[in-house]
Amino acid sequence: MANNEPDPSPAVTQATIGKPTSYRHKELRRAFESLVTSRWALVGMLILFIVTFVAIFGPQLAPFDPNRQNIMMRLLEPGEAGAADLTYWLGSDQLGRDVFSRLLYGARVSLLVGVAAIAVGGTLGVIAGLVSGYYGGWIDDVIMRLGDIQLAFPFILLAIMFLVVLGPGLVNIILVLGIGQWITYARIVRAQTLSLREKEYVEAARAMGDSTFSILFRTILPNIMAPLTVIASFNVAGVILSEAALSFLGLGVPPDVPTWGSMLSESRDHLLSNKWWMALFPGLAIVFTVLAFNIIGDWLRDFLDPRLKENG
Amino acid sequence: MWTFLARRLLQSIIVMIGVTLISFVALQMGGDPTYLFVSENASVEEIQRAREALGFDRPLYVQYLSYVWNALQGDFGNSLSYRQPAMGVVMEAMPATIELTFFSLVLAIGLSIPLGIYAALNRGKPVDGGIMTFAMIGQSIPNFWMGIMMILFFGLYLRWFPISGHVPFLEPLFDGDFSTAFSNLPRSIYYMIMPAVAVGTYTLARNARLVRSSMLEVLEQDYVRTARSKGISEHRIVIHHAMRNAWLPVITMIGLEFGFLLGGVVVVETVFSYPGIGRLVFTAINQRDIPVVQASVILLAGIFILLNLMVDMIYARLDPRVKL
Repeated sequence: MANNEPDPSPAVTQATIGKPTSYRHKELRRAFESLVTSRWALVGMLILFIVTFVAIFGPQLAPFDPNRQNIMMRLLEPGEAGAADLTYWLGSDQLGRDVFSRLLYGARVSLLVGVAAIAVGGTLGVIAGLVSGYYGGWIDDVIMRLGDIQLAFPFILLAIMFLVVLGPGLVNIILVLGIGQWITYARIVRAQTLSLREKEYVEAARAMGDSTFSILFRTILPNIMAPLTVIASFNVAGVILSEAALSFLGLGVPPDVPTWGSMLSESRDHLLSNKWWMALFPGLAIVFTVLAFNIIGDWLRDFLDPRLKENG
Repeated sequence: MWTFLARRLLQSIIVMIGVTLISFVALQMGGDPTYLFVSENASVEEIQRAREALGFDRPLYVQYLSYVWNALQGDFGNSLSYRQPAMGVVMEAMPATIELTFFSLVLAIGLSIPLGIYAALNRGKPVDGGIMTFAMIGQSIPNFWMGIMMILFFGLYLRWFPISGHVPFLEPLFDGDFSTAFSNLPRSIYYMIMPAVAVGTYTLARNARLVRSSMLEVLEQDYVRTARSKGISEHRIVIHHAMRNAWLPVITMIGLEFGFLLGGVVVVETVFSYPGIGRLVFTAINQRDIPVVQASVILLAGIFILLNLMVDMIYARLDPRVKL
């Protein structure tokens, strides 16, 4: 699902190795300039900004309590006015809950799961990759074979299997989706560490008596952040899609937490009676959010390593 | 060649053992798995009896070994809701899923190759931009939502396609009834079009991009330049020189894609009430029918591993640079 990452070249990191601060400032400026000149990237950033804003201020923006049921106001069409002059801008669902308010709250879960799962998977993967690449030998073999085994599963099946047993829940879904991603990071970090560990500045750190921990996390890690950022961006998109699919199957967060996936799941029962708004809006929310992360991932990759540029 | 085969086979076996280990661990992670197999209001004695009957009172390694031994024989215990062997229930649903997965693979790969090549040959032109924009959006649409939208638009509004159901093709074929199978085929495809498009769009989009970049890379190679300088027609260059080499990464992807498609099928089948493994897993999840979920997952993983093994072998045959 989430494997649309490009394989970043080691050259990506070379650009940022050991450069003075003024260089970093220049890089930041270059990033900003590239961002405003690329229409796509700007659109992506704008969508992401809106989704993040909604995720944070959802409760203030929502006209209704997302869980308040109102049997009198069931399945209202978008734009219909409810009681007390409150308009159901995007209609209401089978329990009379406001689709718009649930959509706003749903942004929280999608972003939270997306970012938290990447944090979990990224941390595990980075540690595994650093250790694997730096030490090599049997540790490397064991870690990489474990990854191979995991990749032999279609990911969604693995997630289904664990969530069926563990039961749905926010923490469980973050853990399962996060652990599902570790190998992507581990492979890249390992490859980069293998090439970096022979570099002079790593040798120097070793000669100066730095601890292995310090060499791994203070010397090597900062120099491989560029490709990791690219992967993470694509990965958030993939994880949000997976979360939606799992919520759709009823394996996501508990029913009292509105999510886009579970809203779609509920819409299924009302397709035949053509209650299209229940399905259209949560789906669009997912598409735009995922699109934003994909666009930004593309832009980051082109920016950090123009050689990999795809759009000619 | 034989050492390569043996090594890949050995790797696949190790991976399969890993798969059984993971699914065994998954079963144990929720605490005493006995509770997954008994009803919520079972008495302490009933639970104890079930624990002994299911063998969950034995040491873990014994349980694992017997789990693997049984799994090797396709025995995952009885389905809790169907009251018959779980593997049998899964196998019944299998042909429909294979049909759908295969059809979406053909659709996705069949369209992505010409689209990707066309975009590469028109690099930088509006048509390239259009195809790549479509690909970018295609990669961002959840497959099940796409299914729902197609049901609403093409199924209920335009009434072009059926919104659910399935006409079997493989089942009569396996039974040796060729005439029924092939007379069913057109209707079988007709019923599969919407689910297959929903499942395949992501793969189509991703592969169109892959084919394009792979093609662009090949078109810059020296041998293509040489061919051009010899005055060979552009058409011939694309077909004979470039495509042969651009194929390779695509073939590797096909094996992996089958796995992603299987995953997608699991979700999309529930949208279209398509009677395959996906819908079976969905029902099993809701009824907490663990043996059926486990049997399905292991069977699908097994198919996935086998397919990747086959893809590697095809790849090795096609690319003489791969040492056999």
